[in-house]
Amino acid sequence: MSLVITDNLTKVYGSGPAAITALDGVSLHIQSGEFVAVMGPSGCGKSTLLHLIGGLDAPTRGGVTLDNKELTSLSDDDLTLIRRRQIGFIFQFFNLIPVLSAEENAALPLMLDGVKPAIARERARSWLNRLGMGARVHHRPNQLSGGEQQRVAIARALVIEPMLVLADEPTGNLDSRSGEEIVGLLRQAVDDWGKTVLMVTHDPRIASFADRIVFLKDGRIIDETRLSGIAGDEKMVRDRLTDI
Amino acid sequence: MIMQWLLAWRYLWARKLRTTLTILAIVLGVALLFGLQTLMPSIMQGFRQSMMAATGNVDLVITHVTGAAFDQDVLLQVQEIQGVASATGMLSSELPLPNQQEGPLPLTISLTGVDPISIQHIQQFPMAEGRFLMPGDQYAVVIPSTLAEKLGVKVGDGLRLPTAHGVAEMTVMGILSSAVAVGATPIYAPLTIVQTLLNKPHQINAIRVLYQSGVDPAMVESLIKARLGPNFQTEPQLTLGAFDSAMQLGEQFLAIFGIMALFLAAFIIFITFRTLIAEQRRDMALLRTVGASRRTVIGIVFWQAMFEAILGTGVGLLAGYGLAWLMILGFNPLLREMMHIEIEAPVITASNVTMAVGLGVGISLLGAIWPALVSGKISPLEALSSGWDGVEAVKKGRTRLGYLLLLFAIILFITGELGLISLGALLMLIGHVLILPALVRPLAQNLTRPLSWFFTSEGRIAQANLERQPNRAALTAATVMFSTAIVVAILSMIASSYGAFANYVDETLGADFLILPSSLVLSAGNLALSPEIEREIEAIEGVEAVATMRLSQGLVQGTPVQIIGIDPNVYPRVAGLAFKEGDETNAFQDLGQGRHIIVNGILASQMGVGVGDTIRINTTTGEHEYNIVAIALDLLNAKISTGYISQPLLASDFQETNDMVILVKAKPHAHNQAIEQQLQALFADYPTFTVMSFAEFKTSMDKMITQGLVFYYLIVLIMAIPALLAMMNTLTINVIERTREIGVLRAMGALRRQVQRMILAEALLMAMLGALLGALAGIWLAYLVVAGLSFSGFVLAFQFPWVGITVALILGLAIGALAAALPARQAARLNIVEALRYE
Ligand SMILES: Nc1ncnc2c1ncn2[C@@H]1O[C@H](COP(=O)(O)OP(=O)(O)O)[C@@H](O)[C@H]1O
Ligand SMILES: [Mg+2]
Repeated sequence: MSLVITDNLTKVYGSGPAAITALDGVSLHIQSGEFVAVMGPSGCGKSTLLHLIGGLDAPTRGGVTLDNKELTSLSDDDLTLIRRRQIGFIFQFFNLIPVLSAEENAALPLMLDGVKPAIARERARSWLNRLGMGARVHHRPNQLSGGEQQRVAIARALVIEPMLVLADEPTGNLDSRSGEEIVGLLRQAVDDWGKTVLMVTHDPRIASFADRIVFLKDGRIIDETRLSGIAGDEKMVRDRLTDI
Repeated sequence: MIMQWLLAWRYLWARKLRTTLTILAIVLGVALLFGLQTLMPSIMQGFRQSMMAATGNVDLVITHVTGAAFDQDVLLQVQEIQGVASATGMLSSELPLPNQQEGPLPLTISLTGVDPISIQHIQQFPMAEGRFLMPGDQYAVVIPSTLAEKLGVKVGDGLRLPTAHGVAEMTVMGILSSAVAVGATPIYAPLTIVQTLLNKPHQINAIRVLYQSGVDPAMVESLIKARLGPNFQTEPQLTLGAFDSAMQLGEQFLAIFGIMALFLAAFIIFITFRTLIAEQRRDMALLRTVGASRRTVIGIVFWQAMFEAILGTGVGLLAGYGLAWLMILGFNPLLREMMHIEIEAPVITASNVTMAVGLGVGISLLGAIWPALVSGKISPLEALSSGWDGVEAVKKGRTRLGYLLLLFAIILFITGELGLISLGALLMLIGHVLILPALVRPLAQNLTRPLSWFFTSEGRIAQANLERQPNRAALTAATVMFSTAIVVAILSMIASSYGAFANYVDETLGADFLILPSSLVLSAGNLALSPEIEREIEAIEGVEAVATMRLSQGLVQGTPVQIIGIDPNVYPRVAGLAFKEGDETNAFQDLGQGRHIIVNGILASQMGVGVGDTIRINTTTGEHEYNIVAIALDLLNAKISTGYISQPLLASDFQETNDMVILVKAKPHAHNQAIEQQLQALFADYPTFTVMSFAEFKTSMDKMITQGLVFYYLIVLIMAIPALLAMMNTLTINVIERTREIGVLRAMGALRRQVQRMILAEALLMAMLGALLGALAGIWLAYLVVAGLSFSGFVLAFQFPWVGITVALILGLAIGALAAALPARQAARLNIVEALRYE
């Protein structure tokens, strides 16, 4: 079953001669329980695609269907509630609220949803434990390494038990070892915790953790490949990229 | 240079709301300062012109130092002095004109008795109709044309005047063509008649002198002084010296108000530029990386401040001019009616423009100096490090200094010395500002608890955000603190005075009825009653006792004091005094025999005397010594230096036998309504006096106080403006700084209104912080004011300002909520995608 369907999705910024077509007729299906990576050169519209699917922005043409709901027809408040309860976001940086502890950061979406603080914290803590952050729940973001910060962000994304996790270059700011650990956790989210993940990345090594890779250029899908989950994947992705 | 201007301009333009708010703060200060400055010259001009017209070509006016009337033989002495061309005696008294047949009265007039011949040597009386007074005229008056028009009277018509013997019917002999005067409208009548009407035979209260031409005015004046002795004072005319200095004092007072507003503006600019540096930190570091010098970076900050200062001052000048016009349009009808003064257009002079511009620009730049210097210290490396998370540290040394100052303030406070206490109050305010940052965390955490009933997760985020920048929060809270401290102090003073008033009323006014002159505070301007009326009141059925108060003036060590004559046997039965020192029964007994006096607190503290001491009082009959038997006061004279002596003594020493206030006590179970009716009937012929029951009196006082309060409420509101601007400014900056965070919050599901409530919660926390400390500081200030007043002899019991604190807290919350409205809206409307891309 398709969890996400984009239909001829188009986003144009500005108007007249200065208009930029960031996305140009993208039609994409993402199955429930799938791990999809989006790759492409800078400025090709990857972030824009994620924003539209996440209901952060409205498309110029076309539509997004999430779990059989057409997002374009929803009000701002309804969209917010969907984000709050069904979608987890992970960004490249400036992800956490600097004045809240790791635990509070992770508990934030639950607290926004009116869950009792004690329960919200409890659930945040259990997710931080699962992600290997059990010892650092009371630390502030500036006391954590980049990789640890990103784990907190993943905990925050997962604590609401979302159907879909959207990650925009989650490893872009990390060294290669931390990057692999983070994408490993996303892989685990799909395999062990039944989530669906859509991740943007530049890095073929990171992308090779996914089930499927969508290649974007100038706002269009130009290629797509299914990975087998074996050691040769990374080289295959590299070759594809150089072809494009 | 061009680059600095360009960058400064771009930064300001990019933050229009914040720029506007900062400029508004400057506008407020400059407008107040400049508006009042331009208004003062035209007010002074108005007063001056009408004063010149009223006094004619008089060279010198002689009065008794006490202001009281004196024997008219003094005039003969003056006329003999060399250099005096002519001199004339006058007797005048201000009184309200009773209702004539119709017309919207009453109005206050000045009944002036003149000698028809000699006055005309000194002052011209251009007539519009009829003629001026002539020798032989009896019940004749000459009135100004404005009054004639108002009353609709013509030459030959009658005019009813209140007198010591009831209403007298006068005939209008002539109508004067010009009639500008300060204060009450003058009505001229023959001197002898006025002496009879006011029950002051053979007495005058002013001599006007015209010098021979060519003499040295100072010489003649000193001759006159030598001849008349220290009991008389001379006032050269047309120099208007005393008047000018009084006006200048008022001008300075108003200027202080404007400068205070400007300093708050500087404070706001300081807060703004502090945060502006934080925000532009990375950009500046980047500029340094690519080769900008420290001076260039400082220049960018400087030009931002300069631009705001110039624009703010310019708009402030215009707003101030508008404000002056508004005040003129608003007050002119009132002044015209009450004082016959017309204020013309505001006066713009090179000096008041220079001063406003200098102070406006200067003080604005002053606020930006420190932040600009800090910006010069930004290192190029900061551009390369990851994002500034805006977490500030609390400076421990500053906090310690703050506590030290507070301790010091308390010590100064305990000394009880007024000067030291004032210094203590200043240290206390500074100390509060210094310790505030350290208090932000604990107070915010405690305040979050009550807040969490209304705000759930938003409250927690707001609290955390506040803790992140304790210094900024503290500075913002400090403006709220200043405002609320002043509010608490003002309201507490009102509460204390009101409490004192209620006490005095109950302690000193046991009477059931009061017969009072139109002006509540006794003064020589009021017309006195002749004593026969006392007998008539005593004759009314049901009246148990009648006590009277008579009034005169004396001089103690050159300072005027008022002397009240009472009957020590009757007065305590009807009313009473609030005794601070000395025994009540003995004091009244002593007053009946010999030269004894009871003084009020103000007189005692002014002269540094107490019970058992003696004071020398200069009277119309020379200097006499009086023994002080007690310190006590009555309500009506609580604010004036006053002494109480027996009525026989007042008659012999001060030659005053007329009643000013009559207090009537009814028999138990008497028919009060009937008594009041008879009193009203009795005083129908004395329109300057009002008959009131005790209850009526109390309500009328209440009403008067309530009206006065409006003025204070206005101050309270004006004080709230700077706090509001500062708070808005800080919140706006916070929203800008946290754009990306807000974007993240929204992305993960925070509703627009949750973001809005977050900002609101933060504002409320900050406002409460300021209001709580402000209330604390306000209690100090209030105590200080009450203590200060006690030193000057007006003893108030300090009342804990519950009302003030409540109002201050509510005002604080209101400021917070109001200030949050716009920034919260801005935060809620942020476009998520743009916010996420924002750096
Ligand atoms: N708010 C905007 N206004 C105008 N152009 C935009 C805006 N946001 C993105 N773009 C443009 O849209 C294109 C796609 O951007 P983006 O989706 O961020 O690319 P990617 O994430 O693949 O680097 C880029 O050319 C970018 O400049
Ligand atoms: Mg991108």
